[in-house]
Amino acid sequence: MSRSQFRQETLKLEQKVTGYFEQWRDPVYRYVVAAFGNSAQAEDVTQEAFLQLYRCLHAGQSIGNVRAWVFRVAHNLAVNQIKSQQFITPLDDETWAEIRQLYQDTSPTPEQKLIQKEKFDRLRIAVASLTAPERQCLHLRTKGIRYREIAEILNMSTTTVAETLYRVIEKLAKENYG
Amino acid sequence: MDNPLQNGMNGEEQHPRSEQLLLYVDRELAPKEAARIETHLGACWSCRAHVSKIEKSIVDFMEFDRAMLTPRLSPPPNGWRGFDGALRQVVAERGRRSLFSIVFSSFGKFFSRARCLVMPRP
Repeated sequence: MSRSQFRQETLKLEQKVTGYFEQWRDPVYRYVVAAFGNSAQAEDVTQEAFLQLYRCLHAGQSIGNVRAWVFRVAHNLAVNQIKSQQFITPLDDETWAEIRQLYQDTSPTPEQKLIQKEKFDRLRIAVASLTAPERQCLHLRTKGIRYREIAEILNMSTTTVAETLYRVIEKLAKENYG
Repeated sequence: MDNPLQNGMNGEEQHPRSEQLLLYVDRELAPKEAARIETHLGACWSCRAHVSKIEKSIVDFMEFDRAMLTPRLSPPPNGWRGFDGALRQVVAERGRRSLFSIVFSSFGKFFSRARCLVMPRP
């Protein structure tokens, strides 16, 4: 490969990675903060995942599903760097009281407002009871990630993803409907 | 969220497992399997109620997430200013290595040709 060909290829690859970054940086970032907690490192973790993507593509590695690959790298970086397996949302009483105060309910009647408040209280208990893999599966799914991709990101089988997500649904429904 | 008939028989057909119903709701089943469940749901009120509870739980969680969880999370950085610079740095660093290997391999080829010319084969 000549120098000018090399420069063109590099530029193309740089543009490609920038395109992926623009497309998925926010969902990746939101997943990291939702699953691992607010952290100044979440931004670095997100950016580093895309820089690693560039390095791998530049080295000639073939990546089948780029979206799942980037989420997996960000997930692993977060596990290693943030280390806080404590979810940001054990939602202790004090924090929960603050959130409730800030929430502006648009329900038309006081009765409906009360029902909504009670529902959120129950959901808070359900969400706080989720295990780390459960909340990771849940937050990936809410970002539109398919089961096969979640399996790839969290290094588990598709069957385990389905079972885990169903357990989440069960916990949410149990708190909500008894 | 028990489906009382879950593991029993409903006339001739067995009820799908709960996980399968979730896979059905999430459009994760192969077309043939999805069609089988669709047919079953047409006949079975119990499973339809179960699917409806799954859907409702998803809707409730999304509402809770939007109203209570997401606003607490720090939003993505505005503009992601650091990325362009960091990527350029990686590009330059990789580029130097690659250029070195191009130059190195060109020198290698040159010297091996020169060697062939200077040192005739036995």
